[in-house]
Amino acid sequence: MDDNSNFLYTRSIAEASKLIERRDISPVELTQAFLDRIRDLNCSLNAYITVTQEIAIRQARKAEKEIQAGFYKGYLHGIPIALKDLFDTEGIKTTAGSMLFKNRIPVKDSTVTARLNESGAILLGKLAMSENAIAGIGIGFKDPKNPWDISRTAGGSSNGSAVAVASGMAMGAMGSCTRGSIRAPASYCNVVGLKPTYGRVSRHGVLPLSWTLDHVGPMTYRVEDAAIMLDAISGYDKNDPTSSNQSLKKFEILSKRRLDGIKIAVAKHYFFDKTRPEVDPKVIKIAEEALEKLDQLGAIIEEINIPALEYADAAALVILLSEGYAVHQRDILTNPELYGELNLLELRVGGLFSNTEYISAQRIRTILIQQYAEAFKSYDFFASPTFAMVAPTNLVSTPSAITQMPSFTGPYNLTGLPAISVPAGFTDEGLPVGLQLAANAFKEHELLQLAYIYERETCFYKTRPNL
Amino acid sequence: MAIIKNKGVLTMNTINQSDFRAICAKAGYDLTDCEQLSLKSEFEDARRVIQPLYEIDLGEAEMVLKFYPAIGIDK
Repeated sequence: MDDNSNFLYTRSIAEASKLIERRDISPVELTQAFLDRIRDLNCSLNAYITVTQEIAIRQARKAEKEIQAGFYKGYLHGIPIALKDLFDTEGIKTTAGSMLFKNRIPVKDSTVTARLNESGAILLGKLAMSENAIAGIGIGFKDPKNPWDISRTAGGSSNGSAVAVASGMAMGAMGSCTRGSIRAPASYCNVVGLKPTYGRVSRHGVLPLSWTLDHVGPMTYRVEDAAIMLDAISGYDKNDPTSSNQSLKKFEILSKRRLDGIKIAVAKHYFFDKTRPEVDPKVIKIAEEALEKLDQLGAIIEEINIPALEYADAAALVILLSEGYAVHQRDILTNPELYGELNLLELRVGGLFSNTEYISAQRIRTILIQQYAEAFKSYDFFASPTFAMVAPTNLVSTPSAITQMPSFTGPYNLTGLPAISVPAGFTDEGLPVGLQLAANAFKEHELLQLAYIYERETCFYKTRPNL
Repeated sequence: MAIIKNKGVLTMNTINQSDFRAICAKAGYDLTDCEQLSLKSEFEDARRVIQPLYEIDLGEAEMVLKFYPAIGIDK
């Protein structure tokens, strides 16, 4: 494992922002450290599709001048971040990892891009991703490598975002998530991944995959960093009809180290079902240890039954692929050669589901939402492993893995509830495992505080890949 | 809100090659034989995953399609 704790690229956003505010380091110095890191590692890890070196340096110089003149904007001022390559960036190529958009240069920023820019963040570049945020590698694109073991997948679809943060090539990154694309790669790469409540963060200017399942959110080294990024990007946006104006409480560092009185529900029948062949017992063991830790910290852990979870994989698959096909129908019928084999296969399956299957899936979804709402009358949070297995070596190249893999993250895309993956330990092979925590709608503040306490008391984030 | 399981009333039929060709044609797909074979295999895998949708009786359950967190709540 790396012991480079003095290097700038190992700092959290919260730490670096204090150094910038005190003028102990300059945004230019910090940005250059990350650009150097990208130069050294990106050729082997493929996290970036486009590195915006000139823009980054220009933005960093501007931030430096502003801060020197006494105009410090806040935590993200001068902080180098990166965006999954489906967030529109004015004048910068935005490909969605797809041959379809290989040369697409947006004329406007996405709302998230604009908000990060307004907060003073520095754009290092655009990050690799699964093709069209579904699966597979787009024609002419490279597969990001997991920094913990480059023979393994970094997950999907926000794999470049997870790899960049895990390897110190960005202090924070934006991802998008339709069935788990923020939390799964975060779990595989030992970083934090937050999927906020549906409507919390605008999706305007973000390539859609599934209108009712898509979310966008931050991926960071520490929980506090995710809170800082969420604060910058959340809020009502008139350009996104699904956007909400529910207020977000400012994240505060808690002095308390205990979770006394907090009630955490565990739906073991679904998330801890060791009889399913795809579920890795090593992952379950680590998740059970995480529950023990929460219990030691004073939380009340209770088992609960959410019957509709039994149907969640079916519902999520039908909705995701049907809506995905609707997004891509015209291009699939007219330009199929622009899709990678796996991408095309999955989307074409989506075009074959029946209308009754889609409607049944949406009705199941309603029941799932009701059952979670009922549970939240008695519980504060849910806990589970983030994913059923550690990063495999063949996930991306096996078509049926996408359809058959149980999705522990999908239920929170179906319900729109906020969920976060935090590092929870390592297998004997040294592969990271994430703990997924979920809260009621628009309770990100409480969710982040729970995750923060767990992170502080376990410190799995401190272990970094040996690069 | 309870989930009521159907007692095997509805199950998905298996699809033969000719029926599958017709489904693909209806969707507007122009496939080679090889593409059709791999799509059929993937579609059958997906159908196994979604079989639970056919094993549930939604008659007594929520009839409307809605989504909460509701779109634009408290705007």
